[in-house]
Amino acid sequence: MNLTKIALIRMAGQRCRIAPLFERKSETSPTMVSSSRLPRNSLFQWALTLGLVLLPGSRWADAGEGLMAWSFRVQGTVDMRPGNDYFAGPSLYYSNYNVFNHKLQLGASFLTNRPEAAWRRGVPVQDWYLLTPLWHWKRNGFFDPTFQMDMGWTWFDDEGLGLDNTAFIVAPSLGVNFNINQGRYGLHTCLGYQAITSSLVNPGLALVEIWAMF
Amino acid sequence: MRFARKWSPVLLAMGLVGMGCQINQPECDSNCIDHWLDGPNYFDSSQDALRGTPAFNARVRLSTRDSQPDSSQLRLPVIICVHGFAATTYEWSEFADTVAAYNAGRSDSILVSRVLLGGHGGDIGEFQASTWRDWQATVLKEYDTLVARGYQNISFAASSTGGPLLLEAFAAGAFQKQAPRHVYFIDPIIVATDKFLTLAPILGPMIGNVEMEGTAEEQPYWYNNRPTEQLTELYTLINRCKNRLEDGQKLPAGVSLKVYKSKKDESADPVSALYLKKGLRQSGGRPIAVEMVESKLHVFTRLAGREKVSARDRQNQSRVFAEMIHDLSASLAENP
Repeated sequence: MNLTKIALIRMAGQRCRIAPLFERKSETSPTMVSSSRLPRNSLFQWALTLGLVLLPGSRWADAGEGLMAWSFRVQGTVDMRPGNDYFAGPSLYYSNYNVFNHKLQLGASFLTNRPEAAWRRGVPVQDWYLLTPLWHWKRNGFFDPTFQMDMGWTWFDDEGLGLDNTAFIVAPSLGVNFNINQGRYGLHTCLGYQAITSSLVNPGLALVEIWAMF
Repeated sequence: MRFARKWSPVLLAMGLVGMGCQINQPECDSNCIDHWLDGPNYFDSSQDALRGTPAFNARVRLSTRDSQPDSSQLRLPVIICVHGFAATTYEWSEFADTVAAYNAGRSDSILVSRVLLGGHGGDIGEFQASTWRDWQATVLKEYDTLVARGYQNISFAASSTGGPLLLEAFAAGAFQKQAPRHVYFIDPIIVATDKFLTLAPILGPMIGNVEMEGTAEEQPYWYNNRPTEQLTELYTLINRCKNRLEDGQKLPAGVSLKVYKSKKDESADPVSALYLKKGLRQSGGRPIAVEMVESKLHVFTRLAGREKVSARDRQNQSRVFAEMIHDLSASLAENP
């Protein structure tokens, strides 16, 4: 039984279960009886279920051609001065043979300096949430030049001072990926430019990440 | 040909860097206007009033103004005013005027000493050749001189770069012999608002000289040219302070410090206040006082020469000056 069938059965089951729930709600709320619309949370459940059906059933994941990788990423500011602030955290990447032959990878990262802030009391706590399309020029080679575009959002704890403590992130970067053991794991490093600078976001960007397929 | 094609981007980049190095010198000899601080004839006495000249700076510094104080003067509160990067003692002239008005007819007056940072106030070449340690040296010299003369109640007011200069002095143990009483930071710069300052050490030779032209009234008192070497020095200084604050810094016993920071500031990022709040502690481990001020001005206590000044700006200035004067006069009452 494939995933699509399981999801369709799940959808049918949900439809059966939602109906009595909806009727029970209408007993206590007369206005709901006359309404033919689904409650908002039910619409969300439908959309979520449909998404779960479409995603594994799409061409992208067809015949197991998708590749997932995780990484540990560390990045900092390029300023040629000691005492850099570093942000580190996990990333998840996905690529597919049917989409540019794995040359395009899509990633999501959560970076933070919370561990550093825990032992250095003056470091403002800062989190980064990033989505990253990453292009590989030589996906099968050991030496694989890359281009990526980090897009996302960052926040820092202003400790009640009323500072402007959120900002969007847009950062193009050029780098190189070293594919080791036929691309089962590797090292990726690049230099980039933060197009949107803010209180704690400086223009120079350098990052290193180690990754592995799973 | 193949070599040239392959390496042409690199050669182009090297050429640009080389050109940057060529245009690195501030072009003041021919381009600066006479009445500018970095103009060629600024110190010609026929051209300008005394403000900003060496003679004037000797007069506004307490150690050179009053070389033989009597015992009654030694107990009076002294406040040393430290100005910011590329500025002059003019930055604290309104405070000196306010204190002079307060002192009129009083025996328990407050003494103001305005110190010109090392490397500042002279010709642009002298400024370009100075380091942040040179900037700091005149402040420490004034403090040491006043302590040696017997002044017992000395405080500091520092604007912008004056803040990190004093933090460095505290970290180096410069006030071990006698600690200052009160320290006020007005818009201290720990993080610059213009983030390209972080690239000054790398791209400096390409950036060359940065011009920041102020109003006609400001031009005689601030360098309009900011050479790349000085921007790198400034970044070196504030980066040192930021790193130390991240590790945590403690003030000597008996020092109370208050930070006033504009909520919007084109020079010193308001996040500087957060670094000071988190990283700096009084000797007993208590946090320092930090106040965010409703203002868009950098060094909001200096209103002279500004293009636009609102009623709120005037309120901010008079309130902060009044608080400082109140603290200083109270310190005299505590230790008569």
